[in-house]
Amino acid sequence: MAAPDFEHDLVGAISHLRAFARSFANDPARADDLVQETLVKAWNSRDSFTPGTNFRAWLFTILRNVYFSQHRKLRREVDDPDEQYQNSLSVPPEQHGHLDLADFRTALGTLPSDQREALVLVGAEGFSYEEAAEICGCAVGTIKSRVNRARNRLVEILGDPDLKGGQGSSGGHVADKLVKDAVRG
Amino acid sequence: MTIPKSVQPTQHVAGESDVDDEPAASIDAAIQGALGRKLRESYEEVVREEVPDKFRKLLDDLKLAESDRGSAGGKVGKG
Repeated sequence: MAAPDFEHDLVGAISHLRAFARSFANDPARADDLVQETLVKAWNSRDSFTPGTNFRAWLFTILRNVYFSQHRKLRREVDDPDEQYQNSLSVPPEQHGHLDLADFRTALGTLPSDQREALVLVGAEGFSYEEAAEICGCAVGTIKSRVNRARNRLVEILGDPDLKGGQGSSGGHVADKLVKDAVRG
Repeated sequence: MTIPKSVQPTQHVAGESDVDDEPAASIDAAIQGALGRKLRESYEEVVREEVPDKFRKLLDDLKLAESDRGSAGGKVGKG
């Protein structure tokens, strides 16, 4: 890819890199650090990008590698950042008539990180199972099962009919809202 | 996207009447649909955020560093 095209596409992908990075790091500043490092790596290795292949998938693979190499280092040095992420998510659901985005994000944050990643790649970013498998360096079947488990788990957390009647429990509020949202379409 | 729940045998226990007249599978499908929309909404909200200038500046710095190195090494000409 010619340098100006590469730069143009790279700039265009930043907003998506930032969104994807948030699925790893809940702290926006930390997510942006991840994106910055990804941009440096992508720029320096732009000759290794094969024109005609999925540029965003290539960038997401780099971001993932950056995250996991930092993560391994961090695990040795301080507390597990995933644990910090989980702790930061104990936000009580809002009292609105429908499922608040904050409620949803709280639930999403409780998923195991590999399931959350697969769900975000396929369900939010719109990658095919094959593309997501390539980004994560695993089998297509693994992605499918992670996505399914993630969906089922979210339904369990947010949509459990048994929680609907549970007055006073936060789970009950969330499940009610989700069912209302589902009915509204 | 297929919703596996809808092809599974119904898990409704006889005598359970949490929702009248609605098969459990279609409720599940509706909830899955609502979850999918929520997921995209949540993600899109971040995508639509204005990208801070620091990213643009980082790329400018990378280009500048490269052209500096290029002229210092004498390998790269103009353009």
